[in-house]
Amino acid sequence: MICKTRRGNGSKGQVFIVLSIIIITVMVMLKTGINISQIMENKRYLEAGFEQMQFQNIRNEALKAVQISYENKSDMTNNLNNFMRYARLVMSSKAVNLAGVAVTATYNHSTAPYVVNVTVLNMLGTDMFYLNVTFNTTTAEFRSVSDGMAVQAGFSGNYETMSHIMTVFYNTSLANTTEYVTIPFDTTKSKLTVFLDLSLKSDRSEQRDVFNETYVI
Amino acid sequence: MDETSEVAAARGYDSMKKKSSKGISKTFESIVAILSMMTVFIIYFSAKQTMPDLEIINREMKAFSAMKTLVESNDFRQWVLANDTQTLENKIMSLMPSDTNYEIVVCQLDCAKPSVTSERMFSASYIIAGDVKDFRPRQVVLYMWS
Repeated sequence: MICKTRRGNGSKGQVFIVLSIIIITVMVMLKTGINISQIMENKRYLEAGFEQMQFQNIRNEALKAVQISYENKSDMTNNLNNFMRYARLVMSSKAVNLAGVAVTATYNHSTAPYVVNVTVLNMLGTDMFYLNVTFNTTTAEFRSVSDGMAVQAGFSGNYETMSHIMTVFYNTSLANTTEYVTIPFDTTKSKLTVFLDLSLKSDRSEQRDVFNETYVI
Repeated sequence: MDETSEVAAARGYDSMKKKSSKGISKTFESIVAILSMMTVFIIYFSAKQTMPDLEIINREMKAFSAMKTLVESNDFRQWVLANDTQTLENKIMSLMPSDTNYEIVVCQLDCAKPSVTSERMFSASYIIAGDVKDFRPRQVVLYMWS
């Protein structure tokens, strides 16, 4: 009887240790349950989604810059280029880098020989050492096209009503790139083709879109 | 003192000695328990990990979506170019939660922040190129604070 009583009294003191083990286990389980890295990942995903929305905003408004200039056709290209420069400044103030190349090609309904005017805006954030624009076997060459600068080239010829592929080759300190711009040429209409190769980079995400739109003007 | 009372006294002394040693061991065990819990707290919970605030990014996305919805109507561009921030605020507020304070600023590049002292201020901006026959790029910045 004495022995049993002693064991009973002796084990009461260990309640503290047993309780502490239970509390520690609960705390560890709670901490493991709150997965902060998963929440951080979700936040990054949301931020990337938000930047994608902003990129879509710039993409849509770039085309809008062309559309709202419809009544003053001579301003269409300038307004697009000015909008792209503006959008880049706005994004850079948010530590987001908007870069790319904007190409516009216009031609007026007239009699042969037809004239196609091409403008290329360098927004790559670096100089183009060489820029070659080739339309229907004719090439216009440019050297040292600095960042933010736009250059123009005119092509004339007896073009047929069909889709022509214009190539825009440029060389920078980072890469050699060739862009293919589809120009749906129609001898009975005046048209403007906009080609944009845009990218939006931040420390959270990277977006890129290459597209072209043609408008009857 | 007879032999029986001597034995009883000795037993009483032994009992007191045992009770005292039990008290010491209980104190020791409770100290061990407290120390082990403190050790776990310090080692496991001391690393600073701030909980990311998802509420801000959610509000920013909501504000952006509200402006995107409004830009579908042509009036939005007119309000922006006319710098009619009151109408813009009224329209946007109907699409946003009511527990946040708002202020709209229409600007070109340098956008003035509202003169509000709040640590939880955030914003969403929407860029427009202009309106028909009126090329004037602007950004609409919706500042929010709570």
